Amino acid sequence: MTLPAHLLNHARHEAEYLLREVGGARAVVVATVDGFDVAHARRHDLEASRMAAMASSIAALGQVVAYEAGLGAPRCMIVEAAEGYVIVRSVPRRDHPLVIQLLTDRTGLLGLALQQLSRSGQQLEAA
Amino acid sequence: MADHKIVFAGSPGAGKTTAIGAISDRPPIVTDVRNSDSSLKKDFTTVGMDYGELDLGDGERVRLFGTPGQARFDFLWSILATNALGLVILIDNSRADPLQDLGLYLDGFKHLLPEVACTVGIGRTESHPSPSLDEFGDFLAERGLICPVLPVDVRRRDDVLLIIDTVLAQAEARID
Amino acid sequence: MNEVSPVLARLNVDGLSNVDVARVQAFLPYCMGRTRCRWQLASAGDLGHALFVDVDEPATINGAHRVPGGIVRIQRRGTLRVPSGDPMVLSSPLQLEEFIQMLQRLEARIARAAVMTPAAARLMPTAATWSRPSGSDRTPLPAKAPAAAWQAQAAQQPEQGASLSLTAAYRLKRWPPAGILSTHRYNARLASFLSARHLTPRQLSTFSNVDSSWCVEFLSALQGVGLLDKQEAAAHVPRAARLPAEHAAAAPAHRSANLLGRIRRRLGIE
Repeated sequence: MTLPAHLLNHARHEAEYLLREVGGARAVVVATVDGFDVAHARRHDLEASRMAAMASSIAALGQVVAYEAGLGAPRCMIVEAAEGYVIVRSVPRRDHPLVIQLLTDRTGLLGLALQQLSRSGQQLEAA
Repeated sequence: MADHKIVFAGSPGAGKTTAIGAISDRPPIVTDVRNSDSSLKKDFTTVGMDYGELDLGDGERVRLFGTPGQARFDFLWSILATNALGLVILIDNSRADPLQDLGLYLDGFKHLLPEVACTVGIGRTESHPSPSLDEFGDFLAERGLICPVLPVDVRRRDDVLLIIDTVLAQAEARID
Repeated sequence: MNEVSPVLARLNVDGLSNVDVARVQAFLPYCMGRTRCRWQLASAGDLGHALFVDVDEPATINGAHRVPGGIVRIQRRGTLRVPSGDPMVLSSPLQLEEFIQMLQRLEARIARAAVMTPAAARLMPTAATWSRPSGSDRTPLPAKAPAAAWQAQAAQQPEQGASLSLTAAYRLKRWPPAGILSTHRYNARLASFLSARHLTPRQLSTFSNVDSSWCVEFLSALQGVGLLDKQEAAAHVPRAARLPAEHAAAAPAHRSANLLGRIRRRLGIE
């Protein structure tokens, strides 16, 4: 797997941006749609490669559900857990489609996190 | 509605999706995405699961699940296989180390194998006869496992049905 | 001292059905070590050393007098076109053990016909020279022994006195080598049942829906090479009592033989 250097740089930049700017962010992983870790940023010891694989599975299942339901292409999947959120956003690039996974606790606002994640997704899509 | 399930696991490219498609009442739902791993000789790969169904009538059905083959998705294997009626492990004999591949799945499902019927299907044996079926049998025997080991071409429905027949036989024998 | 290679003997199977010809071809490798000759199929037009024909073939076959082993007639199993007890009759579908015993009879007839060279004749069995290895000569193979060892043992004579008990229950010690499974299309199914639990021959036939005579024959073949673990009838323990407590509690109650039968019917597997 070889991504262009500029895309790798953008992915690292967005991962670090989200970890810094999203209230309550614990970890960010940017992954290929088949589950390889492209870039990550984290506050705790999480296995990024495993997170990447899980993110791709969540995104793929979300896509199947959305299309089966006739809702069109999925943008974002949210898992609400007892102590935080797992949010997975699709980045539908034509050359290298990606997913971004953001893990947060409950100290931040979900709406703000979604907005910032959406911005990062658009940045990566345009990169 | 009473639901049961049979799970197809095994090497990437071994034909899990095709095997499900051979017996499912409907075209299988797949979560295939573009493959970025050049060591894998395929354009697309499963990252979530494959899904098919067999309608037995009277509100009863058998769900057919296919798991992703790569080790990085092993978190899905036990989730999908829990409480399964049977497990089929498909191995692609054209890969570099098919016995090692089998070992990966036997380890991944080891907590389920004492109770779940399991058959190992070896694909591409005609073009790649080594390891032999007997070597796979030896490999299982070394681990204290007695599972059917059969050659299979998942494009042939009869081959898939024979695999399922052996899974059902084991499941039936375990009923007391 | 030069070793004398086994004599080649030829079977003419032109008169057999395709199914029986395929069975003969599958059986021949297993005759090594059980017969004095190395048997192979005769070429087209070659009557060979023995002639296999359908029971409905004319009683007089052109050139048959030149066939030293004689003519073996094949009749459908369960019919009595030829009186029972005729040693030159086999039932179809052909069965391995019966086939091997027939070849041994043919070898005795050929030896009496004295058409072999003196050197070859010395290889043929006589009552004085025929010996079977005793069961005590065979070292039991461990379950983890490689398949090749099991295959080699299958080529030898079965243990004496190891007759199959119809009341005992049997289970595989390991998955059989592919060569042992290849002699009948239902063997994989039978072996699958035997891989999961101990079963009596009757239970195996009931579970598998395979004729009991073939179940006995398959079990005998497996037992002959030591692939079966045997439980006497009184030792059989119900499944729930065999399992550790955590597994017994988790055993799905809804999984019934009826369900499995419905799945088989739905898929067209009977």
